[in-house]
Amino acid sequence: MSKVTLDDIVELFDEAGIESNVSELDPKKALLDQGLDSLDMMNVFFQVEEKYGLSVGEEEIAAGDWNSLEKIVESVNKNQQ
Amino acid sequence: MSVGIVSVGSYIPKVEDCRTKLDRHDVEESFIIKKTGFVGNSKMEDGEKASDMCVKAFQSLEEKCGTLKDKVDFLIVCTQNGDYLLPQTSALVHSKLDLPQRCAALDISLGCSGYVYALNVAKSFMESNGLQCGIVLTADPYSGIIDIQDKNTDLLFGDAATATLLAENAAYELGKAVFDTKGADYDALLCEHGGQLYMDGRRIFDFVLRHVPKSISNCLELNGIGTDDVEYFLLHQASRYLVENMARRLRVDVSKVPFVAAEYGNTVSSSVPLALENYFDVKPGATMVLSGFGVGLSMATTTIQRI
Repeated sequence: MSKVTLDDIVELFDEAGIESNVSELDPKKALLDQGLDSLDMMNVFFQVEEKYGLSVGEEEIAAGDWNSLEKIVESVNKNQQ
Repeated sequence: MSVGIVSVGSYIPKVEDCRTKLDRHDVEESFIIKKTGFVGNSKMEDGEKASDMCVKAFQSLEEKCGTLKDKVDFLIVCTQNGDYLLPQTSALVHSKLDLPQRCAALDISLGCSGYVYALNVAKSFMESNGLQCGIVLTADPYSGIIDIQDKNTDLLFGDAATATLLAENAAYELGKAVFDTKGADYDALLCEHGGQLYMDGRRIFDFVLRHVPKSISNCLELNGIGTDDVEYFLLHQASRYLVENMARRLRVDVSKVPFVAAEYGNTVSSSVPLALENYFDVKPGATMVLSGFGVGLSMATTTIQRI
């Protein structure tokens, strides 16, 4: 299975209709600190689960494993191994 | 005989401005406008009960249809926040409206999916028993069970009631409906006896986006039509964000999936009939989809066609 890239996650954000200008987001910074809100994050987790067939657990979310673009890429690739 | 929807009346109590809640929940007004979508949340008057809201909705219906109460032979109230544990709230409504004794009166315990269920129960019951004048009432005041400190729910829900007249010589005929239940997820939206409402927002969000589009497509297939044949999708007004994302999942223009509840909130089983009342006057032959989904977890979708 090919590795998921930052571009793949940016495209997923576009498909999810997240309003923020995704290409301008800092990949390392927490998304909630860059204008996204809790509903946006629910949508992101849903889209990731649908597209990659994995489960985004509450414990991982609380641990910050899914809180930035970079972390999302890492977590998707880790879950797909 | 075949009964259909003749008309819809409603009652929406006084609205509380969302701006009174911003500080309490540490949210920006933009979040409410763009995401939850509810700039106001309607709330029953002190001392008012579900049956009182039903009476007012019925009176609104009579303003449109003329005097009905001497003719009513079937009454169903969709509520999970009735006046008492027993008797059924429809008995209170029957009393307050002084309806004829020869009248069936029952409650149906469903939330956001309840209107589509209640329409089908009413239609089947009436046609099986040759009944002529049925009233489908929805009134599920969550204001009595909301924890005002809970941002998940306090910003969403509103109280309202609707009354739908079912009879022959209708304006709309009902199509075939699809009903789904995910009982294993019952605890995603829960209120214990004497308790307050609990909602797992993420589980509800996932449930809606994952399962409701399939319920709708199954209903369209059952009725032999596609999304292009539908004038409007009148969905449960869970939030602006969910309704807009449903349009995306259905791959239809957002203009066909209206969000009408901004002024008063998510009114549970009254949500879909309030949307229908708003969009009642479509052209003859137009088909609409009614879809309710939520507590249970439960989904129900039907088509209706303007005659």
